Amino acid sequence: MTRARKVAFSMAALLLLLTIIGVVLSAVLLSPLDREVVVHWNLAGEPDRWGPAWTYPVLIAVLGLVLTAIAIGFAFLRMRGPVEVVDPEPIRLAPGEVAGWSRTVMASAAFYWAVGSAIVVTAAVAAVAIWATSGRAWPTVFLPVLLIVLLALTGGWRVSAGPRGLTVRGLFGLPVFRVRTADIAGVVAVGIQPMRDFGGWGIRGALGRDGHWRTGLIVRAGDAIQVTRRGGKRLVVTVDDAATAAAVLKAYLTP
Amino acid sequence: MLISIDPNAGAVYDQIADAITVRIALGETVQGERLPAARDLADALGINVHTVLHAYQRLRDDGLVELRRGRGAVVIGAAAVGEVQRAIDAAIHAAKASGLGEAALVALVRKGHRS
Repeated sequence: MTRARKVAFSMAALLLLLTIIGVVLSAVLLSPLDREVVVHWNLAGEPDRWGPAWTYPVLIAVLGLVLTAIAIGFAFLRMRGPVEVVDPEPIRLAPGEVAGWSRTVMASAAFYWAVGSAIVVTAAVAAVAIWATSGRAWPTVFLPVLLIVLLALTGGWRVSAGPRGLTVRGLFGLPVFRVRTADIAGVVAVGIQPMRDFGGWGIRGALGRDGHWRTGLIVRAGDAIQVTRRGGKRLVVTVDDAATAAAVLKAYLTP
Repeated sequence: MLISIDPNAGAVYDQIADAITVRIALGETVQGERLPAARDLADALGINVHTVLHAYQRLRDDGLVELRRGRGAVVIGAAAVGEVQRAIDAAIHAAKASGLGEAALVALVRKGHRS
């Protein structure tokens, strides 16, 4: 059993334990379970729906079991990982010559339109909710703000490769992912399908079939650079012209 | 964008600006394209960010890029580079045909540009 699978099973066990505790605790606190309790509040914070007390233990049980199932799923889930691999020759350098490669990758226009629309809609809903409750619904602004922050942090990447290694920055400078040359065991260009290889877009993690963790900075399908660290972990960044970036990094690897 | 330099062969900012000018002449970097952020190219080459900014300023002074706060360096002089490249190709052709050496050709271009 790999370490990653052990972690997944421990998480599942912990979630199951928490679920049982939650169900027992809520059942004890709410007993007798056939009495009526509030199950919904309106925007003004006044109760507007009642239901049997056993609603809560059932809700906790269902939620907990779903989360546990997801954790067990992770123990068996193995992302196949990139299939198309290009292993370029290192670029040739004259004595004393230094080569550096840099490129920015952006998510597609469709992605920006989708997230942009979501920001507009959630902001409008928040504005109406805050107005209707004369300010009490102010936490609703967190959703559009969260979307804006997520878009700024993961909507595109600035990728640089050279003698010092690989540096990846968000469009506004943060976050930063860096793999130093001394820590690079190997580098290739790969073809990425976001759903198949990482289960989606953004900053992703996935377990490879070899049991090693793979971090993905994924904004689209297609060309990506894959750096394998000496410990076996991998960093995958979708970026155009990834084969050139890999060739530059390979020129500086010590065998 | 792939840039190579030789830190022991003259001013690095001149080498970067030269390399980008050549890329524009070859059509590898096109009109309206945004150059990498100075910090990114500095990360890539393992040099100081000010050296890259210096190179970008030379490209601006040469009329090849436009520097805008927040937008970075944008190529605006691709057409001019293409036109001058054609004239220089003709001059090189003439120099080779008449046996004139490279140093002499460079000297003539430099003298002509300064006067």
